[in-house]
Amino acid sequence: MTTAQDIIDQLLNVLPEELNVSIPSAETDLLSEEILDSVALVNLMFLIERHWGVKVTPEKMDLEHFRTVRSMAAFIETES
Amino acid sequence: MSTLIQALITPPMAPLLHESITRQAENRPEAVAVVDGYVRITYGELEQRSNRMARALVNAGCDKGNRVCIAIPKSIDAIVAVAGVLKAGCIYTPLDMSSPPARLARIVKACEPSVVLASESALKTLHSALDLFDREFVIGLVDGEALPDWSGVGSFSAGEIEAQPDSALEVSSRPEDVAYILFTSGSTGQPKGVPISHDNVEAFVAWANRYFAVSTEDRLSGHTALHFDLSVYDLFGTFYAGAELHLVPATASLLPTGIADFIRDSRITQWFSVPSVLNFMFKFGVVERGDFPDLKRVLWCGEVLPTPALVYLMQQLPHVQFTNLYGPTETTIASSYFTVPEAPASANDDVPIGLACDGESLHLLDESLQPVDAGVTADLYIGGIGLSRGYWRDEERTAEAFITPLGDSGHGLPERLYRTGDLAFMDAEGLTHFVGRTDAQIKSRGYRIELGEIEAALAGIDELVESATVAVASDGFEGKVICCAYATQAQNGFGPQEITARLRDQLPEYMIPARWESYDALPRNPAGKIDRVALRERFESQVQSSS
Repeated sequence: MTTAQDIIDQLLNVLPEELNVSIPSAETDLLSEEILDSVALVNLMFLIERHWGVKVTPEKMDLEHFRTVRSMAAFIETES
Repeated sequence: MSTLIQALITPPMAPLLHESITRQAENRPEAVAVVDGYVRITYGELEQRSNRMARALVNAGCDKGNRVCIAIPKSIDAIVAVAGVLKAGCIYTPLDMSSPPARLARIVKACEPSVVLASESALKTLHSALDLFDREFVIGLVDGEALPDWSGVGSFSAGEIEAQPDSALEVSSRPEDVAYILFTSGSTGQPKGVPISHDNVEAFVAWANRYFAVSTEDRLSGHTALHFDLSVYDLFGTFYAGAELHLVPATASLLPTGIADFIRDSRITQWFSVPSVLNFMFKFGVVERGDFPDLKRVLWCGEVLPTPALVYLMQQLPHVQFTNLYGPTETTIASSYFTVPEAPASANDDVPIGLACDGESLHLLDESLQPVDAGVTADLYIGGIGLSRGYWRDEERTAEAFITPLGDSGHGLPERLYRTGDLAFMDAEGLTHFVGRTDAQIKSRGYRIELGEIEAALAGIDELVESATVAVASDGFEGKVICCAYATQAQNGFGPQEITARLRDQLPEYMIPARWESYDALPRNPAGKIDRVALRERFESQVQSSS
């Protein structure tokens, strides 16, 4: 079974290459640090759908889900 | 009907941009001019604050025609700064503070400002670029307390600006004086400065506000950053009409739902942006049918809006008028327009760039500057009232792009023409259609990018033996994807991450390639040049298979 920690590890692994960004830690605020812009966020949503089969519909489009790698993992775990 | 009457009785336009604010302040001082989240400023307050700013600039030694850089995030403070600079008879140049210090330094060096107006949040980046400047200027801090203590740099504070008298300053600007200089990507790696005068802008705003019947009842969106010329219409389209400008918060732009919520909650009546924002809302289907009941007009400019996005928006928003605007920075905001009469029948239909705005003209000419027949694709030239007087202190590139057709004036060509570098054709109905570029300039997310500027930065990386960039279309909303093919010295472990880190010292984020391919040696065509066609095909199949 995939745990939140597994998802965190996978995200830390794939995001730098897929989104062309560097991520200091799972707790880094990627939005206020301006590491993710709107294009990266969109690519992130596509990536989450591809890797984990979680579709980010407009109702679920809340910035808080994408603020940190940890919050992304929690979102993916809840939705998958 | 009332807006039509209002538009008809609007008095003649003020010849200087900032006079539009003064006029509104005299007639309707309590009317709201700009809204930024929970903060708003009336025309009366904008008039007074910009008068104080103008006085502070003159006190700091600004003379007529001096440049003032603006390093303030888009906000009411930034708009006060723009108005204050113009009232001081000076020229404003907004700085993109997300640019790396090396690029900022090139721009500041080129325009030689007397003053840089900055917010506290910009000081760190400015300081790291400071070593790269070779000319002194004064820093004017518009917020915060901590005046920078940098050797050789004078400064004045927000408190000193506020302490100025709020009466108008006597400055004798003329309509032909330059109002702003914007820097665009240049193929040699050196950004090009485009100076635009008060009368250039006034002509476009006069046309646009008449055509769109903008009135005091309107609420315009302020989405575009100040270093991008669509923002000039956001500001002065609003001020000439006495309307309200609603600044789109940065966080709202991050998600398509954020933009939709903003349009809805701010009750925007006229939206103006690059197409990627509209495409963004389409891709995620965030617009309900009949959504945005207050919205009357959607305008876009800067690149092609994909037809499926337009069809979607026209279906969801049957009460809204959709207008495509076209034109480079060099001819001021936009030079042609096309209001889409009905949703295109097929996703393959293109949207024309249409007809020239009043006072401007479009010309399709062959190599000897002879007009071509309808249906023939040729180089697109623009003439008329929007043309810049030429690139900032760059006669060579001015002569290349701004031409004077000699002799044979029988074709009725204007005295000066700007060669856009775009290819286009005119259809049987006299509407012009955009086809593509003649050179290596691309548009990505509305940004105008010369691949040459990226290649110039790549050429500065010693670990690379050779490299080339190409742009390929993507299915995503961002337009073109920048792809880089490179070859390194044997097995030195130097890859995309390392190259990206180096490029970030030189280039803004939107110029960083998104796709990479390593080669032992780049493919060559029979002429011995790097085979960009082959590279493009390689990347195209990659980009397609991943989306």
